[in-house]
Amino acid sequence: MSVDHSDAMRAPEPGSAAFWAHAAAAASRADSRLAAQIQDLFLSDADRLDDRTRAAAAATLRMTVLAMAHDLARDVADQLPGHAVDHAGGTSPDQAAAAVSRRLHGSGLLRDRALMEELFARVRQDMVSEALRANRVPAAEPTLLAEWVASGDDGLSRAAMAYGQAEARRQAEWRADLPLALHEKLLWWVAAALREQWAVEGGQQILVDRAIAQAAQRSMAGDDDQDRLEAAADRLVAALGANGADLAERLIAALEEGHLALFIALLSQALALDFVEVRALVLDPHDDRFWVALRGVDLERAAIARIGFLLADADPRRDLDAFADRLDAIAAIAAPEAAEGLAPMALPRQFREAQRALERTPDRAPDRALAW
Amino acid sequence: MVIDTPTFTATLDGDDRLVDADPSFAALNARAGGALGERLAAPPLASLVRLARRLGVPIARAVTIADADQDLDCWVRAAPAGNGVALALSLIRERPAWRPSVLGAVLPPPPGGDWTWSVDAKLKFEQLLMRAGMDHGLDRASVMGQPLTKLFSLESSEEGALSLLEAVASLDDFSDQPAVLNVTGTRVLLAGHVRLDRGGGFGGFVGATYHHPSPASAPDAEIGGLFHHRLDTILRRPLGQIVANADSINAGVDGDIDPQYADYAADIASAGRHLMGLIDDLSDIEAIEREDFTVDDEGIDLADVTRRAAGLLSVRAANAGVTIDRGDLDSAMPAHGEFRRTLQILVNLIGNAVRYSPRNAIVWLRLQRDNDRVYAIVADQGKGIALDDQERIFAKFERVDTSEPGGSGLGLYIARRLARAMGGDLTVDSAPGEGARFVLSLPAA
Repeated sequence: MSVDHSDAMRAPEPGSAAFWAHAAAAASRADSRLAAQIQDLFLSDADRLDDRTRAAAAATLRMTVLAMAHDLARDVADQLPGHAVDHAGGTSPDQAAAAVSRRLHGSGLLRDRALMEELFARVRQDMVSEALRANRVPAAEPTLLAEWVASGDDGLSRAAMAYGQAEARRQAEWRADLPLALHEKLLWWVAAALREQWAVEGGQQILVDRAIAQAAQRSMAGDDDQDRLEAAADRLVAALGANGADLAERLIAALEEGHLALFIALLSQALALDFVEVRALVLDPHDDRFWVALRGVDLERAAIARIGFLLADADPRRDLDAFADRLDAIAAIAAPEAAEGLAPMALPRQFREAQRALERTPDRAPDRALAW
Repeated sequence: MVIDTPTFTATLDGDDRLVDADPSFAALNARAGGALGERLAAPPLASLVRLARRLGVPIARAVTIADADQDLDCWVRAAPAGNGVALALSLIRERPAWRPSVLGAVLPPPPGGDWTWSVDAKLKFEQLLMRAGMDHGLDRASVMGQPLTKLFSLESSEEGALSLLEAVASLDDFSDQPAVLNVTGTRVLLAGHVRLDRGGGFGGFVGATYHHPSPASAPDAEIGGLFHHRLDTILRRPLGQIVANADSINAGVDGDIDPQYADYAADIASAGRHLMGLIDDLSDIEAIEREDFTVDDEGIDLADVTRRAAGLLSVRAANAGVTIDRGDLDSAMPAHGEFRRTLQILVNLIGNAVRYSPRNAIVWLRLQRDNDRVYAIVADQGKGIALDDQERIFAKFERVDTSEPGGSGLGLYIARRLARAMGGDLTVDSAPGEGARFVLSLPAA
């Protein structure tokens, strides 16, 4: 009940050729279903997505692809001369978008690691943020952002307002605003799927292709990465600078008021690590490097305890009791040691990804034919 | 962090045991089964306290606690203090607790009908159908599964209302629904008890049909007055004479008499007084069971009422060798209620306590106050009341032990009805061999 795999828009008429073809393919469908079920059985519970994440991720992915496809289709239809569109089956942008979505889901392209990683992280970040907001003291006035907006410093004030607006937008929208690179990748897939939808005869095809390509480029140009909540958080933290205020206080206040993106940005700036790296630490309930990171910025036992409590109450996957047991040990980690332990995370991301990709592949003996 | 609602506080030691609490918190904890010196009774509170101690930092979260038949949504703060933890509980809101709908329990039809029927959620007649229906020209088989309106033509009231339909909408019982039995053309009245389904939605009616409806059941003030008048003339006056005469004989007013006859006279007087008490009770019952029975809200001081009740019973207590320990009745306890009725309840409770206490026993009177209620507690050292009997004693004419001399079996029934009419309640906490504590609660003023 997650990703929509319905590949039959209209069930074939019994007795028609399509019907027999569909029936003949039943055996191979049964095969792949069995394979999937075997995988499902042996999947460990810790590896599974929880239901909320699964539902939210599926919905977000669907909405994102649909929205992209719809916008692109509408833009292309506006640009194309009328007869070319007629040839394309007279499909409306909505229908085209739905078809594109189905095609992409079925193609397996969407199983892209980078895309899925970002999607899951986005969805989890939003869920934990929502839970943090729900856990706020009732009738408490959120003061953090308000103070900064009202401060005399123009830059800080603007940055705080921008963050607040980005947060509000994030809460209101289902559609994911992806980082630039991923957005581009997805957009070209959508473009390619749309091209398939609107396949026309010979000479017209190049017109359609050109129109789609131009529409995609226009969409990319209009995309502003800076509007994203994560970017706004980074800018806000930069504007805050080393204002002398306690990092611990800010971290705790950010969590108390439900500004998870701000929390992650504060921590990543203090550790000189990427936002994405630190987000992965915060959102993984079993990653001990998160506590190491907190010690890396020399947080005291009390601050770590409060942060742990707030996060555990907001993220049901975290075990609060186990955390309470380990708190003393965590607080005993020496700050320099912690910094050392985090050092690998400071290496370039692509380097580390390449390392991991290599680790995943087996070390096969070189092919004799290529021996040299 | 300012929360503008009542806050209860408590302190716990290094073993998470309660060492100190303000009265409201203590009462809340006690109602949940806890006590001073023990861990907190409500699990979410206990675990929050434990966490605060282990984490060593102040923590807070929203907690819902079940208290009697309410659910309390609270914001609870736990902060390490010295060796232990300081707890502050702020009540955000109270909600009535979720009640499971009673499924499978047989719902009785309204009483006194000529025959009974039941319909399902779609108002179609069900399997468990009519008893004497056949006598009234109905073929049971042909009616099952048919809509209600096939059998009955419902008639609306003067304002166009159909009480049966209103009851469907409001999930309520209904009565006095005029209808015509289509088969015979007979005019009847319908009444029904509503059944709820698992989700709390409409599940049908269990109903009764009345062929000879009694005259309008609306309370007639005149009839009530007539009853009182009759009581006075027919019953009270002669009884009063009997008691007065018996007292005179017993006192030897007109000359010395044989002590045995004096004793007889005393018995007569006592029995007469007993009957007077019974008439008072019956008259009370007649009054409080009327639909238009109301109590005044005079704004009373429960401490004052308790003092007076104790005073009224001081002689009887002394004669029985029972001490009434008044506790602290000096501080005022303002409450909503009617003075006369509250006094009646307390006299009844203290009187019972005195009656059922052995010689040299103590009857305790205590007052308490929490969030929005005040409590008067009457505790005795009598033989206690078994759990099975604890609801029965509040029923009409129930006496647990009929061999015990004493009341009519109406006192507690009346007392509880009065308490509830004033927006409060009367409950008992007891076990055989451990005496009894009766608790009168009233809305605090």
